[in-house]
Amino acid sequence: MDELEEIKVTFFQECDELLGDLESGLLSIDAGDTEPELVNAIFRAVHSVKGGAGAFGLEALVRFAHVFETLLDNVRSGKTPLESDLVKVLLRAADVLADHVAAAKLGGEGDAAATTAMVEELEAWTSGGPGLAPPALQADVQPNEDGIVFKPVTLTLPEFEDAPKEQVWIITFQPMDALYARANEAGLLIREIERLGKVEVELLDDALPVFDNLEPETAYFAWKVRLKADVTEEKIREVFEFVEDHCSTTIVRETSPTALAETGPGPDIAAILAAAQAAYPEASPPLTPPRIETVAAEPDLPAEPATSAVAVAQPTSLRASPAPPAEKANQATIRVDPERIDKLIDLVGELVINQAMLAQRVAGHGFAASSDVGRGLDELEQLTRDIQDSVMAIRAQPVKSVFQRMPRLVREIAGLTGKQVRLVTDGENTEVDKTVIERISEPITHMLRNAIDHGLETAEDRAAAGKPSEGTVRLAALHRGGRIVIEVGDDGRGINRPRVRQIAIDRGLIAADAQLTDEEVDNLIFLPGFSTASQVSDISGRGVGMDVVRKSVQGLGGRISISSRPGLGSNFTLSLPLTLAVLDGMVIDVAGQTLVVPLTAIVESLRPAASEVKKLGVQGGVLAVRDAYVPLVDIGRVLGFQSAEINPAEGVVLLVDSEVGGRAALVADSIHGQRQVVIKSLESNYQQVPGIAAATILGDGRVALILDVDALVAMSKREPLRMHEPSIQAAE
Amino acid sequence: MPSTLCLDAVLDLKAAQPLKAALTEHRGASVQLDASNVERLGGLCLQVLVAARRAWSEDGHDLTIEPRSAAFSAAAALFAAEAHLGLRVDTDGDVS
Repeated sequence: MDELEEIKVTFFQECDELLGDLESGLLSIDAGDTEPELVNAIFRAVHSVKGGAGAFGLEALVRFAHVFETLLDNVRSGKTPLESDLVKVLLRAADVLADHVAAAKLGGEGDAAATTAMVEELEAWTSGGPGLAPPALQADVQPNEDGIVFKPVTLTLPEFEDAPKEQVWIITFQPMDALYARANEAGLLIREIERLGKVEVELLDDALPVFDNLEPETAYFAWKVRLKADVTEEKIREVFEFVEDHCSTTIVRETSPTALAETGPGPDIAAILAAAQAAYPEASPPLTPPRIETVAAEPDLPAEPATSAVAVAQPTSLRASPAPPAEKANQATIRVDPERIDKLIDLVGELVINQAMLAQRVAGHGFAASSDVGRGLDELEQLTRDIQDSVMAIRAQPVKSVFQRMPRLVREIAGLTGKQVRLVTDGENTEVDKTVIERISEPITHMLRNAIDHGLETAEDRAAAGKPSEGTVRLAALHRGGRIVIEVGDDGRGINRPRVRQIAIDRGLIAADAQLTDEEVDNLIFLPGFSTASQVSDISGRGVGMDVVRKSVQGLGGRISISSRPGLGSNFTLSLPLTLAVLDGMVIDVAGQTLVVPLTAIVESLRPAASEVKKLGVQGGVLAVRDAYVPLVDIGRVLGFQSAEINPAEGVVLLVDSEVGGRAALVADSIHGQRQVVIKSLESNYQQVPGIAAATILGDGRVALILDVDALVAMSKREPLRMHEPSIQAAE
Repeated sequence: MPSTLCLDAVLDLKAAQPLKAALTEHRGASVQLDASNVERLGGLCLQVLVAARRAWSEDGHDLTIEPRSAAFSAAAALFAAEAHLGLRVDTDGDVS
């Protein structure tokens, strides 16, 4: 990827965050939050998107963002009151902006018709309310060739508004590293200023270090440009609009028209900057950096004409640039290439393994745990664990990034179905590993679609049932028992069990006379083939059923369950591991091989009495566990380690819950105990092995395979990947 | 006879680091920079060139930029860096 592309990727990442901020800010306002800072925050989000887009020449995006920003600026300054109707419009405008960003990411432009309509709506609000645009204003704002009405934003700079003609401006600008890093150039800025009028340019090289100390990608030079032109300050500032965050700029007006001819020293820029900084000390809250402010210059500045004024553009954010000290304090995050973190996690994994190996060797040499060496090892182990936790925490991200996308989805589906829906989210700051975050979006999206499309009733039906006409969909995340739990619930009609049962019978998924509990009926919707073409709708259909959701959740080492109450709604619960890098496992021995069984799958381990083992046919068998029969699965045989069966009564049995075949009893020779193991992918290091999820390295240096319990149980039935319901098994 | 260093056509962000490295290799002797192929000169490479000129001057060596493409000369003029690069001597003779 070339450098510009990389910068572009970063820009789009930032856009995602900014759009998220925008939407959550608007939703807070919609929910009744009247904090004025929220308006500033949403304005800044749109402004930053526009600024970045400008740097990449994404014109359609810039144009739309500009119109959006203009209205927000009015709202910010109190010109346009923020009423609830307007918030709804702004939310839709945020959606259109997001579409533009998404389109720009793919190299295209947003939907022109939707944009034009939204632009008209925004403009109407800008000029005084919906549909109240004064005719004069509409007449002189002509749509450009794309049908987009572009109107420049007017910044409130009262002192300069009626600028006299032909005046002299002194523009001093100092690019920051980020300006160059984002493929902008100081030369282009000078050229743009040149277009405004007659210029005298001076290169300010005071900050340039000696050659040996020069960092080639650090910006040292600044330029002072004396511009004689018939322009307003606003016009000059437009030149810097798209680099505003990456360039400190001062624009000073000289009142004497002869100033350009003077050869005396120009204004003392350092003094002006110092004065401006004194006027805006670091005490300004982090979220309210004054973007463009006008201040009177100190009268005693030596070279400053007494009547001049200084406008200082302060950067709003400095994510990728070395910030001046005042900004550094505000910089809460750093961007790191995820590969570096993955590498670090790998290394820490190696460290954990190494530490375990060391412990084993030390024990082999007969050192007592209380000896110095033993104690040192304990400390090392503790430290290793702490490092591991800290490193995993780096990759942990709040689920917010996923949750943030959902309000829009809900709005859209609500629009398509004509239902009134309110989305309530909870626990969006719950943290989970990045690898998990990346893969839960799809199942959540699908479940939300289902909840609105199938779960919620129409407003009329709800009213008839005595419910509020607006349905509620709840999306929540929480930590429970070392896993992350995500719940998607609705207050709709609940699962129509007779219908589900009938569909399952019609599809041949269950026998017509099968005796199923309510829970078992609910779970039928997860069976492959349950969702059929006849049910596909634009919204939740798309040919994907809940079985696919379940499969993707299982792919993450998670489970999905459902609870439903007729007339009151349904609740889907996803339980996922917090990370895909380490796993708590039970180390077992099977036919001389050491294997690891994920602890999450194990219900209990037991040593069965011979009387509890019942033979079935030639090879099969079941185990009687508390009034139920559970199929026995001989791990060694299924994996091909041995041909002879272990007598379960002589070995150990692990009772596991498998998603594919209900409960099963895995037979092993012996158990070594529980251990946290570092997961090493077999696919990337070797190849996929049926029945094996991954591998790990044990303390003695040997590789141990981690069992894929579901696949193993499926293999034992010789019907891999075919799903069955537990009760159906029992009925067979 | 000073050694000659041929400058790349595009002297942008990506070229700044290599330019400094290339110049460093010629440190300690006069050097002539051939800017005839330069199509674009950015602010960062300009900094490298100006700092280099000063360093060479302090070392008591010459660093000249000759020949120059029109684009190079135009960029130097745009940046108001002609004197800094020794392309034009100010009336008071100050070339730094």
